[in-house]
Amino acid sequence: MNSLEASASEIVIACTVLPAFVDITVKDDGEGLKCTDAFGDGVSTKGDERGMGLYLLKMAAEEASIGSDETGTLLSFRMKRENMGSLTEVLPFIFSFSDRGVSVTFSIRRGSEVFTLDSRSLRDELGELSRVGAIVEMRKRSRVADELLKES
Amino acid sequence: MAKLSLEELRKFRDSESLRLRRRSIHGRNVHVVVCMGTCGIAAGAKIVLNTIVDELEAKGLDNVIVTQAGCAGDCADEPIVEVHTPELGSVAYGKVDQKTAKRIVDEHIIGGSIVADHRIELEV
Repeated sequence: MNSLEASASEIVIACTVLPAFVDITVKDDGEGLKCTDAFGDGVSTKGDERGMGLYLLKMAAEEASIGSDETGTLLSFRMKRENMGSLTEVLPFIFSFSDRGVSVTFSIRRGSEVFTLDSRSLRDELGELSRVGAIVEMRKRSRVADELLKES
Repeated sequence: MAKLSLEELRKFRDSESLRLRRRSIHGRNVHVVVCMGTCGIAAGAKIVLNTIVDELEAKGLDNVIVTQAGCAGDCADEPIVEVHTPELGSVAYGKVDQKTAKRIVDEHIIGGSIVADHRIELEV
């Protein structure tokens, strides 16, 4: 959501599965951060009583960093594998954002195994990704990502 | 041609009415928005979002659009769901749980009636 609000046209999400952790990066080409302490409790450019998302992310993560430059914003964080939720539940809705004109790419790597989803090819195949039919299909495809997250 | 009883005619009318309504939903824009800001997620919006998709899929309503939005600025009423249909316009619901999500699909989206006990007004 933050990337969309920063007028990003491209969001790239990459997960690397390690024995005990998952490293995740979210890179967008948006306008960049408009506050100095993005992880701060209650820090938001969207009004009062907001600004908990990145704060809670940092609380849950082992490490987290965020920064912007002329190319956009990069969020990086490391989670314990046992604290990762289900990608099947979230990926379809992340990809549904592509109906607003932003391209989304997701990849997950565990050793030599890589699984990738790209909104451009998905939209060619499934049409609007926020349709219930496409969401259901995306759930099925996202199960591969959850398999890579499981303990080996 | 065999005559139909009144009861058979009523059943036929009800099933055809539902079939026509589903066709109407398929051919026109019905859009459900679930607020997924931090407050919404903390209140259970993720379960609501997935329940709505499950119910719509079960009813064969594959062309309904379901999207997320950020915080609506009304955290006390989370989880919040907005439903946009051509017939009823935009209607917002608050304190939506799984049971209410199913009612929204059955009563509002399919049945065309607002779930009045959960309706809220959102500040623009």
